[in-house]
Amino acid sequence: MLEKSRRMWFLIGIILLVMSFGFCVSAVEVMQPEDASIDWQQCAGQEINILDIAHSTSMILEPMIPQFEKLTGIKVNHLMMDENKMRVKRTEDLLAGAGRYDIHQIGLTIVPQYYKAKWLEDLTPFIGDASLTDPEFFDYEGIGKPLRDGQIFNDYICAIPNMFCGVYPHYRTDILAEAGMWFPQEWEDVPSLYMPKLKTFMSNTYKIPAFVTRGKKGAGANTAYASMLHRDWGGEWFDEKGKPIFNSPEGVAALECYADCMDPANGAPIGGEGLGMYEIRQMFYLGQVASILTSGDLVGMFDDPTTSNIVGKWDATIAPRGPVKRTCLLWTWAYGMSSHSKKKDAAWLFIQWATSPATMLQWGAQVPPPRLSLWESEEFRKIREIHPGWVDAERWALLFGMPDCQPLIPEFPEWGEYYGIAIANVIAGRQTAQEALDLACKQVAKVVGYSE
Amino acid sequence: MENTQISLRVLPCEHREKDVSMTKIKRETYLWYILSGVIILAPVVGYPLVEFFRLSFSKWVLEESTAYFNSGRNFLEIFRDPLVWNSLKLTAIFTGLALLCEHVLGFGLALLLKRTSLSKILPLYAIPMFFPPLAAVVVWLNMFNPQFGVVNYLLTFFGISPQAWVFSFKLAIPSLIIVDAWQWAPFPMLIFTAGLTTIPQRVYEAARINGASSWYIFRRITLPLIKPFLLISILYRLIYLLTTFDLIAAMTEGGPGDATLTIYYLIWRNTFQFVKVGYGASISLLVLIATIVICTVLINATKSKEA
Repeated sequence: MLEKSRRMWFLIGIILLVMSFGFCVSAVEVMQPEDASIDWQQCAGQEINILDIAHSTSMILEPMIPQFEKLTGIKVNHLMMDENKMRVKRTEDLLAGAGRYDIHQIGLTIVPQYYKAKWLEDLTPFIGDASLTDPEFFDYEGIGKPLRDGQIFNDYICAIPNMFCGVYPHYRTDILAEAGMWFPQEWEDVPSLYMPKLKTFMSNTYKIPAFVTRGKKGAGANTAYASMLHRDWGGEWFDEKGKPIFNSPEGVAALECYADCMDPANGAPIGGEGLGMYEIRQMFYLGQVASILTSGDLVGMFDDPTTSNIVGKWDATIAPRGPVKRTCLLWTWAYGMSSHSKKKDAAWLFIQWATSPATMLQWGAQVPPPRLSLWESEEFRKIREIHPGWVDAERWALLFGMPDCQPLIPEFPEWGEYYGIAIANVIAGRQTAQEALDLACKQVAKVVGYSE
Repeated sequence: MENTQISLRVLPCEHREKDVSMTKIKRETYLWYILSGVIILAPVVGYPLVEFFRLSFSKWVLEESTAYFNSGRNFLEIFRDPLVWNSLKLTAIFTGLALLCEHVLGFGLALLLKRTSLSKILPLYAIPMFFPPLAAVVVWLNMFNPQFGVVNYLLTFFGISPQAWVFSFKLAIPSLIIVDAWQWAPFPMLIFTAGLTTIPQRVYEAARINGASSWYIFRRITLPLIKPFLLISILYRLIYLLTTFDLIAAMTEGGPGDATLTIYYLIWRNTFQFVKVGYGASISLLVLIATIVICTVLINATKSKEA
């Protein structure tokens, strides 16, 4: 009887193992480009230029570009630069109507402005063209819906998401374990409890700042992270008449908390008002700060033994909540096609290839792919064992993240500049949060054409 | 012209007629030369200039990617815009201090090189000038890094606490000036070195024989004699500094906050970030006029003193 039972359990085990293996294999089984029902060589001999941002996805993609060139016979010039410089170059190119770059990296917040200016080609006809797109290979619907929707404006598909990330705290597991601490789940506790306590603990050992977030001004720079807290406190950007109202008591309290998180007296580094995305992540992977608020696409960078001093010594957690709610900024980068491009078909073939499940599967576990089906890959599962908090935080961001944390309006650059300067001024102690936001609201009202 | 009249007076009548007709031919030839230059320059310089004037009196409509004439309202807005005035103030501070630092440093180096055997390695001092601006920025950004920068490390030897340099409101402009002076002080140095070599040694010897002190010699001989070189250097660097963009864009992006938002960065921000092309062109036009006026005043001031 016992023997029979054992055999039965053994068989069940085997079946489960085979099933799980089968699940794994089936989950990562994707159509390869060679099997797609389109002629990849239809634009052979052409040359396309891509203006890209130097983020994890494009860095992973770059060495894979020769595969595309071999597949299609299209020569690709892939230019990567840091975020702000890429934004400048992109606007210059699109404004001049030169069509120097066929494909641009498009962020979530710029879509309304570019749609208004008709600078981006509607990708709907390309997706629907059977000679250019194999629906089974491309699987547009497989890209997370909130991410796809973020790039659609008035039924016009402006770009195809190739990367997403949530924004949440990342911390050094070794330091926090030594200190017997964990990252707080309330924003108000960060500057008042967590940072001073960690600062005191590290004063004789690590001697590094306890926490840092973005202080450098700019639309999508410090505004992105401060807007999370703004929402957590229940703040809104505009009222129903279009009047800027982010100087409300909620907005002021949120900005005060954000500035407190950047106060050197609480354990932040000096010069916080000038620290941007690149400085912060560099500080973290060099082991120069114990915790940071940053985007969740940096696994590859933080776990790269050639550059990082914190390999396997970090994790992340779901973003803390504010007095009203818990918000996580959901960000998307996407490939958009310039309406001035003269090689649109070739450009589309690249976008299709770069954002296809087959290409994204090759990323491994270095970046969370915007296709949930690929999260079941074996490599991605391994990551869970090392950074379980990061996987939870990223999944939470994908499920509950807020793409419109910042106002998605055509005047986003102006809003971001004025709000960003206000944040930097408060961090530097040049103005109170109320003064800075009153001024910013006045400037933004002028930009959006609101008058009493 | 004066010389021609004198020669006409002394020439016999038949020769005078011949000379007049020759002058006519010469004039026509000159006109053709000028005309050919104008024909070549008109599309290259003229068209962009006309377009620039048109844009500065227009409002750019994003939806249509077109500029519409708006009766000079941009200029009214400029005078009401506090950011423009703040940017002008920052530009004046940055330009003035950078110009001063570059020239004091450049002049000091030139004197040092003249009086010592260090002049043998003169080209080495000019190396920073040949650095690509972005490479210089990358190097200095790392040096200024508040956490692991070498500048803060050196300060600790003097008991000075670490500073945030380019990342802080207070030190952002001084940091830019340090980088600029490091890179561009060799330029006045080379100009001054050339200027100093033109002063005859006997002038100094005569002054010394007459009992002049070093300070007197510097003030009354060296400085007046290198004034034309100083003017060239100041003019060149002034125009460059007033239009500085690459250093600020790469190092501070106008920040922290608006601490380094100079007038050229403001123009760029309005034109390319806010897509307010007409407004950006209007500010550019005013800056262009101001630059021409400043340079003309500077040249005339020096000329009148010389006269």
